[in-house]
Amino acid sequence: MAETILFRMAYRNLRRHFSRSVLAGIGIIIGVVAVTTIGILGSTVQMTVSAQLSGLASDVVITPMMSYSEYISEKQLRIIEKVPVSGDVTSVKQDVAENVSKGLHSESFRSSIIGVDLDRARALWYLESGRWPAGTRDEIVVGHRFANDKNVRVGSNLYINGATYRIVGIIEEQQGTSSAMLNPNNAIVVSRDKFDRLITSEGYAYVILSIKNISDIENAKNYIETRLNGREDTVSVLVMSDITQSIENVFGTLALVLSAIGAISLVVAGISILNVMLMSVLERTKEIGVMRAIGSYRGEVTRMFIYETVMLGGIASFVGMALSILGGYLVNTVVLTMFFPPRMIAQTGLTMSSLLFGQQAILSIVEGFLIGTAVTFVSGIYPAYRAARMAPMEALRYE
Amino acid sequence: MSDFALETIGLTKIYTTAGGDVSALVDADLKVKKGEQVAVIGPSGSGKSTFLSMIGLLDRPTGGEVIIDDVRTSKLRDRGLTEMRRKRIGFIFQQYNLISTLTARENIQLPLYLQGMSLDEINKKISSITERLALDERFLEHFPQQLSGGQQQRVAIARALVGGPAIVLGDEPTGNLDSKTSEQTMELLQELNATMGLTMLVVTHDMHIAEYMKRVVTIRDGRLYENG
Repeated sequence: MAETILFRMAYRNLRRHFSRSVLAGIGIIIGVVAVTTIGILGSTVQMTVSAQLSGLASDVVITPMMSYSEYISEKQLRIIEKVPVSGDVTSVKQDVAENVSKGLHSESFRSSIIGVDLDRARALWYLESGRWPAGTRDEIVVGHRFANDKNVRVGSNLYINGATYRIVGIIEEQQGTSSAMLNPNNAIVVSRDKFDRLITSEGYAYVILSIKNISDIENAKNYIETRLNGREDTVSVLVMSDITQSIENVFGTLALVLSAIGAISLVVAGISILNVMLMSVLERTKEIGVMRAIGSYRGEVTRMFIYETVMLGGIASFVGMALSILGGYLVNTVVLTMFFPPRMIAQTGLTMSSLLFGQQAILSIVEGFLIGTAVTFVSGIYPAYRAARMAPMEALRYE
Repeated sequence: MSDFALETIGLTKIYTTAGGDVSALVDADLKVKKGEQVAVIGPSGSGKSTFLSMIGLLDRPTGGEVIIDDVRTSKLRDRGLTEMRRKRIGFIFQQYNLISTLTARENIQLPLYLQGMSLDEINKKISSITERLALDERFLEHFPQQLSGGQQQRVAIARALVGGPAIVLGDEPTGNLDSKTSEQTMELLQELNATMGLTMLVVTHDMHIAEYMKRVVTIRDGRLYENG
């Protein structure tokens, strides 16, 4: 029951010095908002980047070992296609077409050209306009940036190495959610047989295995390593999830470092609480003497001051936590609008509420509250200890 | 069980200062029977307050012993001394020393809360003490700064008595009151002594106040003398 009165005294004392309590609380509020908002910012960037990279995570990219060959051969492709895990194989021919022009007498330019199975292309990319090439006609599609840079549209003709092709579709701009390496933004995309007619190549530039279950990645890698690199290293096997994991780790560390910088403001706030509580102890020296005279144990005096700091810290941290949601909203809005175009956000499927109330953001908010309360608690320990150690008679005589 | 509520044996307090040791209290022997009223008088600096702080267990003596209700206190640690103050000693101070953030009622409740009583028990005790002290219900909800000196001292007396202490110690209990309120306060203490069998020891420099007590001892240069 002693706690009832000790708690009441702590609360009344906070109220009696309302302005001082509010000012000390503002420090904690700012600290909590800083730590939490930065935490939310970090988690937003991390989540957005992760979402964009998630399309790559299940890819295994097989490239030729240059010391062995510049291409992956048909024979090697057949072996890769027999990989005993469920997934899709995209074999890609890619080169540079040296002589591309918009008209017979127009200036020619060089362009990247991709030869890929059109069924796989359909599965990987959407067209922003037009259609996919049909049958055996001399039709091609081009990437979004290619169309913009070269000022061509659906219906335009392109002269590639002397042959005429009609652009029938433009591929939507890819932001990295498509398979690794295979990016058609700046390229001409044709079916593999047309590629062979245009460019002389001895094989594939790379093969992408898009594996359905991430748990099968290791099996796929082991299979290819055993079958193709058994006697001599002929191909290089790149597991994209390793790379995406590293990138995510970098952003995770960045978020942590930013939060730590925000935590400096909490340390400053903690010192201000320490100062306020030391003043409070000094002002209430006589009251401490009276409490001790009528039979308060040292522990009870300690708790009275601890309650006061925890109450102050708890209320301030709670307000800080509420403001952090607002702060997080503002920061997310700024970051998302400035650095991530709406199309990219739409592709990742992330929304403001999923970012603000996602697991990581909620964790940041709860962490902010707990850290704020803990900082005030720690700041209150020394003043409370000093109060409890006062000699009762000296405290009573204090004027 | 002895007949004494308070006993001091060879109580000595020496303060060490830059100018050397100062004896504030020397070999003070005193026995106070249960229900007895004792005034300790002496001029300023005679050692009255030092004596009170020793028998109130607020400070430790350099030598000697304080026995309260048959408990020898010299061997007690801080927790034991606090327990003694909580259960067996009531203090009445010159400046009332009420807690300014608590109402008059809460100030009286404070020792009971500290003793861990339930709210029911606390309320019963409060009713009983306020009735006995004729405390006006209206001002019980006021904060100390809203009360007159006399009212504050009555609240302080109620706080000192509410836990049922073995002995009540007064440090110039009327020092801040006008003469009329002083008389009323002393009459109240007299009455409580008669009705509750209260053991009281009051230190004062005011002979007029001392005359209310049945026994008077003088303290001079740290030594106690029994008045004939």
